[in-house]
Amino acid sequence: MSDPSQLSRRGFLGGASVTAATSALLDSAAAHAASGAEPVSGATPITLTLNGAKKTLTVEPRTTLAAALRDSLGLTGTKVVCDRGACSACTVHVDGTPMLGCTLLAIELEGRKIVTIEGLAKGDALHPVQQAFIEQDAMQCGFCTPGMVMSCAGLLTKNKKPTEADARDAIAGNLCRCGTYPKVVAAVLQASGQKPPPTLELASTALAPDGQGRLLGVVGTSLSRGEAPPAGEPQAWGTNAQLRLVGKPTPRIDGRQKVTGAARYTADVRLPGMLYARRVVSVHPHAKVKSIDTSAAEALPGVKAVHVVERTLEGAKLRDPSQVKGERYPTIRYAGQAVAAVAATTPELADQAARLVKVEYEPLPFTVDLEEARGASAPLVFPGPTEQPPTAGGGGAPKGLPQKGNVRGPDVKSRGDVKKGLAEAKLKLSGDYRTQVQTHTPLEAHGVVADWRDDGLTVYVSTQSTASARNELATVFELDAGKVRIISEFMGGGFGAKFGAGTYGVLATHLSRAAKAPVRLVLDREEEHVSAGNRPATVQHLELGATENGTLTALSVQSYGTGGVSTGSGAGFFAERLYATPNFRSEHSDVFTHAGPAAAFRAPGNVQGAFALEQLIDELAEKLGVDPLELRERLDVGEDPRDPQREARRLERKLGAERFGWARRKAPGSDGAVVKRGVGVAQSLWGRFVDMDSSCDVRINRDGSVELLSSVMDIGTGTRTALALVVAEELGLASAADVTLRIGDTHHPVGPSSGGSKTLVGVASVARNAAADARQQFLAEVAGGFGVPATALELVNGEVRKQGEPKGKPFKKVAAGMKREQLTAHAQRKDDYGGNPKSGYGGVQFAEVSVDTETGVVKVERVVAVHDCGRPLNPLAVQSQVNGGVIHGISFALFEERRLDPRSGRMLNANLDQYKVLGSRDTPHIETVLLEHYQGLTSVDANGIGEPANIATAAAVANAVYNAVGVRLRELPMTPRAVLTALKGARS
Amino acid sequence: MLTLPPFQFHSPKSVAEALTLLEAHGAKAKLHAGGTDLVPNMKHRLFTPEHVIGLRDVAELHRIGERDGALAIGSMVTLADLARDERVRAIFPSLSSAAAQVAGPQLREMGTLGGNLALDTRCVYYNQTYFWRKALGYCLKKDGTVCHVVKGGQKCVAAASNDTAPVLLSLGATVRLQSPRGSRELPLDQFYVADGIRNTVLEPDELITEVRVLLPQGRLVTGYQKLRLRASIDYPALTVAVAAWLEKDGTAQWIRMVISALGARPHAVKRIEHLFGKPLDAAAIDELGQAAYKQCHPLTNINVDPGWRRLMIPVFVRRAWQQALAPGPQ
Repeated sequence: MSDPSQLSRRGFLGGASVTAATSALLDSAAAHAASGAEPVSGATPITLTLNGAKKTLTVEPRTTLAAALRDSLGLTGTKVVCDRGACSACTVHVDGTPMLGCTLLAIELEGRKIVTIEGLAKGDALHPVQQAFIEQDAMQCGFCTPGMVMSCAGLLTKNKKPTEADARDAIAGNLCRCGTYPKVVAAVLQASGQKPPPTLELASTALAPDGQGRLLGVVGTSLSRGEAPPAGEPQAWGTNAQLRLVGKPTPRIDGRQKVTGAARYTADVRLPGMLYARRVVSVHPHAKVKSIDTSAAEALPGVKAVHVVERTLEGAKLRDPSQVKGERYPTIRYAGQAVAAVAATTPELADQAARLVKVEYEPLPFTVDLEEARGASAPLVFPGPTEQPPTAGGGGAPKGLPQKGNVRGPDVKSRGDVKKGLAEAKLKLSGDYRTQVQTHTPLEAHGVVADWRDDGLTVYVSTQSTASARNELATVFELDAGKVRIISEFMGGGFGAKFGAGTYGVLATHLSRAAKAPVRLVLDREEEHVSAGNRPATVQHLELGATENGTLTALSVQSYGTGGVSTGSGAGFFAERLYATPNFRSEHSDVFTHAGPAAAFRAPGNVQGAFALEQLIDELAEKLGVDPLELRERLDVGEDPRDPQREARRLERKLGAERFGWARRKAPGSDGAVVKRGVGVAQSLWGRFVDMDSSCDVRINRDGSVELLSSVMDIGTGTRTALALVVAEELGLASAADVTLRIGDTHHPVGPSSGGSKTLVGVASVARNAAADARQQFLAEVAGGFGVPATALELVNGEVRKQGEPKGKPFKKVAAGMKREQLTAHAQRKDDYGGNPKSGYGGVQFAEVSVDTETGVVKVERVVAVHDCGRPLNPLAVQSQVNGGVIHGISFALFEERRLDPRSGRMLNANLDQYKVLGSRDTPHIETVLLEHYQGLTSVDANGIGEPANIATAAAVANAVYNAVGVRLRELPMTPRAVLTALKGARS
Repeated sequence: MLTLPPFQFHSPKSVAEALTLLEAHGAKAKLHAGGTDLVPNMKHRLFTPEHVIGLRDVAELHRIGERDGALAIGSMVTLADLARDERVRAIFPSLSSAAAQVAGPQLREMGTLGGNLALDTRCVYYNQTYFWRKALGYCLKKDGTVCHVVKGGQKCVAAASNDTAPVLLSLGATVRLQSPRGSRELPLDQFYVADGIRNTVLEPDELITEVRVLLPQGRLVTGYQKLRLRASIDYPALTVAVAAWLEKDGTAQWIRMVISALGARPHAVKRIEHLFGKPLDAAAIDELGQAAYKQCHPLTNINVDPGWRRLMIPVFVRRAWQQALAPGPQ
């Protein structure tokens, strides 16, 4: 099909060599009548009332309401997620009743009244539900938010005083992946004039001791002042109680965009002349591609480009690439791997064209089973040893590990002598634990809109890391990074799976280049589950030795797991770092299988590691006859008695136990009821990772407006608001809303990726430092007007004042006197004060469960999550993330599991009704207690919370199940069948 | 977003108009009630009808009322309206409860009783995208010749997943079917057949117009229990519908018990007549549970462990009877 001469038509790339030899440019004139085309049915005009106005539009009968709204009318607030009526993201009102846009045909709505999220507010006046969503922070990434808002608004028209249960029922069909359910329920109560019960406790509001030094320790217990910050850094801030804006629960500044449907996600981008792409993916889990015939697809009128995959970005790579030298197409190593892609003028045509691409495969033996894949005779996923380079934000695999068959490793970490430690132990315990594969399931699927122009490439990417997406595309297309612009304005969830542009992004870019038009490629839900990342399965064997008082003498973790064609299935650094032991050894091996690639997933490894270790520690407590919390008090110590992480957890255990009512814990299995109650606790530990690619500009304009610019994007955690708070605090502005955030765009200074709980570690202090610089510049500019030196002025409450005077002049008025139109301050990340110490953050979670011993059903009733994340910049958003971590953890503990069909290698539940993500009715009451915990490391001293909030939950639930029934479940998910089997095993 | 195959859409305003369309297009047409099952199935190319006949505007199918000693429910009454209906709630609480437990709230506002009764059966190898099914070489139920659930199976074992069907069976309901050829009224137990490919006797040109349930003359007690993993959205993994007519002394004049969501059709538990005329006490309920357990053998047709679904039968039978016999409004 390909004509290499067409490559000369590529755009702006003077000297770039292009690896694609298979892009084809298809002129519609050249295309002849299609074979196998689906007959097109007649377009019909329909008239309906849309958001209060009569609207006539022409639709094909097969056009769903969601498609008509999004594609024909540009009303992209209505989201499509599951595409099969299982998630309610597409909820609109039809004659006042919430219904699903993905399942309604537009044509059946003739004469009816439709209200979409865009039409809910009356002009500028938000609907009470929208207002309450903002104030309660009932949103994170915001992708489910329009559907949630519509469901709740529908409830209030029928029920003026809904109970909490009514609210849960109204959103029982709405899935959220970030975990907003508790706050959605609170928003419904607020919108109906009721007061939601308080669920956030700020552990202390104590003031810092006098002095200028940076803060050290935990507010409320051990806070002290250390040395002054290094030269060139702003003065140390006091505790949050001493700040005006930072640390106060603050509704997010982009909340309005999210609750009105105005927030534009990659999936919503509609460019003029945009084409729709569809991938052709392998039906086989392991095969050689013998030939690809794209002629029929190319011939279909409306098809503008076809591209055949020549390299894949995901997964491990052969150490010796010559092993596959001479092969025209990449080997297929999992069912669902992309082979080609087509771009056409409509999604329907793209679909049809993709089906016309004929691929001839030579199927090869495969394995999708972890145990089978370890065997000597298992079909090989890779013909030789592999490496996984650190690309697109992923850390990559440890280099040069041995590989035998499908088993790569072990990766060994060791200190002391475990054998000796075990020999010395009075008590020895061991346990085997298994965790399942969990798919990320962001509500917004991976996707891009690529726009290749002569003067540069612009790609809208649903990515957590604009910078790494840019680098990935620049590398593949051999472009200067400066010629590649990545935009990620809003993103509908990532959880670690969206660090780059991916093979799909490369495909879309090829297609755009070939077609000379923007190309949209968004994965469908099945593709998302299969090929866009997952948390690998693990099998872990733990052994520990302890003295009679519980002190650990040795701990070892042997594990293997599978991330399909990727590495990264380790059990993290949880066991290595959490509890003091002189002798430690972990050995981890990756086992390749013919399954979709793993990706970082919210505290990779540590969630799995915590599930195992925190249960074993629970067992040790029981063996010793000690309360599990008391044992942790003994074990959670380090060489430094004032180790700040351990100090924080000590307080967390105390505060959590009080709030939770830990004292009423009964002996395991002592509940005599059929439905037994139990409580459990587990700890969390996550590292502090400093991303040096963190920088920003802060600008002050002569009209008094303030901007912050950085390529960092807001994954839904509220990064925008947190940064705005920091800048507003430093500039003494009245509120965070006075700062305009320009982020998620590589045209701005490089920012960190949003992952690893390192976003704010990277960029919060940079925002403050830039703002402090801008402040100085500003005061120098305007001091003349006050007749005093700049140092005698201060910025407070949106005013510029002479120090000591009660009243000043409004900031905006003063700014009008600036000599320059705009002043800009740039700051970039330096090492933490005193270098980047190995440091971390964590928390403690308490769970209460009920276990129905007749059905085996486990229900989590209540969770108290006590966490520290340095200086909490916006406790309201931190709480949202804690809710999300807990909800993810419960969903992982009880429901989620990727199931592969051993005969076909295909995922059996690659959709949202069979892949079970926790719903509103399965969500417990969650209470959050937040500590202020200072390590004096930067001018802001903030840390992330996304990962720590997810680590302890499954383990706490497992310990609670044990406490309820007296039987341990060492395998996830804890399905009802597994619970019954365990109970039966215990009886016999 | 998955796309739909092309079709022509018709929206008749009366049953007569609908029948004319059925006469003209018959096997090439699909009836569209709420569309909640049909539209996703069409996205997956499980159905590619040339014509889709939308019934939403047929006002006569939306009625619900008492007639000739029975409650007559139009096939286009939505599940939400059915769940909310005061009479249904008071007289047939299990029906109200079943309707209220279908999927999520939006789908209940869209989905109808007729649509729920005619719901296509479900299977893990069937309710998948076109690409997915193609990769597996399709299956017995659609486009293929093999069953992936039962090796060598020649009969489709996809699961009946409608919540209202077992309840209406337990209540002895009848359905009226109309076609250009005439009209017939069938007891619901003659409506379903044990074939997952076509699990009803509904002809391609036939339309369910009405469901009738005789009003009880004495004390009717009913119960409905649905097993699912999550407390919402999920299709049932097992359903149990029970009904009994109690004498003043508490003995059951008759008992009906239907187990569903396991196989291609709801199963009315047999050989329980010896319990008629006896008190519905714990021993009797245990016996009913055991009878149901012995008669049902779930398969791996959905992604929920069949062994667990079977184990739950006696538990859910007991819970359904406890619900039915509990004092006060259900």
